[in-house]
Amino acid sequence: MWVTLCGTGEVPSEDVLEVQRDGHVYCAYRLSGRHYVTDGLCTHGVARLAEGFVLDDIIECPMHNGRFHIPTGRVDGPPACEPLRTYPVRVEGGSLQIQLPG
Amino acid sequence: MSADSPLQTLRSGWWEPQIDRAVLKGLMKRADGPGLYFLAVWGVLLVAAGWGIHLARETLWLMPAVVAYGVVLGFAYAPSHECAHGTAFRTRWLNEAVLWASSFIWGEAPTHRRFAHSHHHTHTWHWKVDAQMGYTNPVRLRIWFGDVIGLLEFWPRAKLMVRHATGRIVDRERVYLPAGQDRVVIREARLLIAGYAALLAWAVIGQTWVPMLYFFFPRFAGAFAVYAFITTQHMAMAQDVRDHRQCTRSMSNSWLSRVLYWNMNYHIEHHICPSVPFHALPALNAAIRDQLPKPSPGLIAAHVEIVKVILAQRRDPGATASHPLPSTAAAVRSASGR
Repeated sequence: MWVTLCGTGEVPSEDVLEVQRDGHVYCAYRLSGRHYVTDGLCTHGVARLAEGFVLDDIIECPMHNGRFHIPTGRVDGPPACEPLRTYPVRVEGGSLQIQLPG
Repeated sequence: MSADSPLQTLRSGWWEPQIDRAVLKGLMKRADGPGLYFLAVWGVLLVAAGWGIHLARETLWLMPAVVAYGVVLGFAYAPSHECAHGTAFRTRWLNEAVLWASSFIWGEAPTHRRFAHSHHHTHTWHWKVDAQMGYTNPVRLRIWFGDVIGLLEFWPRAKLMVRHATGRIVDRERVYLPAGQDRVVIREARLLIAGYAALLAWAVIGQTWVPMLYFFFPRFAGAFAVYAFITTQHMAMAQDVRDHRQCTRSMSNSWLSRVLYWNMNYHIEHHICPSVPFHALPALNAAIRDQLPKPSPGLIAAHVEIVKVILAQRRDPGATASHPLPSTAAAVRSASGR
């Protein structure tokens, strides 16, 4: 099931946008022209990743500096231990969509 | 997302400054240059003080020379702390290499430090919650003295390292240490102890005083200096409050102190925005100064304040340091609706 998250124009280049949908927090990114979407809360502690720092293809949590690789969600630096969930994305008519199960 | 979102995060309830997102992002940028510069200054001072030990050998000046060298050596705390945050350098391997070298000198295994310190940032100065809060209000003079000379730290840290090296993780560490990290913590404790043992073996087998004169003796004898700085971070401040401006102390320090301490005199600023690297803390201060209390005017002034509060706590156990907010801070809070 593909759902619209936000307009592609809303996602800042080389940065992150937090989007809440149906009670879930997502982070949308545009890196080198490509879109990515991950969960929006750090897996180490409940912190908003969108308040953190995008460095190349890494998002760093603002609370404890845990790092995640944006395209894959893998942990790039402690204290994060659990990978970040990533979502398949597509652009449809200026909207950024993600694929959710079901 | 709106500021009054019902989403509950670790930051919920904590005071946050009003700062433009783009400005804050700019302050979060990483660089290698400032850290290398701070390291170079520290290195030059270490070499100079070490040369002092060499010149003072077999004279009465040896003890002061060892203390002076130890004062400089103890500031390994600063790069170790910043590298544990991962913000010291843009280049990751450089961050990790300096983390290991400085943590060896400082005497705290990197991974355990990272997790315990993360907990400290989550629950700053909340008694029986903050993993790095070693004492509570009211503070006793002997606690202040022990903390300043480092005695409160050395023995517990040594015990912790030995316990980890023997494979024991205790329940209170479970709060901040994921089970998957046990192996790493245990291995790192063993590695550090093996390093210290190797230095001792060098001294004994090689019949040389070098490891003692340039590492062990000065590390103990000069520790008081960096601990004098560390003690000011939270001692005698309010506890169990969700406002870093009330539970944390910033200081004005000299250029040399700031370089040796890697700008941790901007301690409120560091706690408010741990993603802002040490070299950008003065700029962060400039951006939000109108929302912060005045910093203590210096190290001695901070300790005078601490001792005054400790004495006041004898009459009123609830007394804490009072750092009034500027009138502009009230205006900002009012404008933000928080």
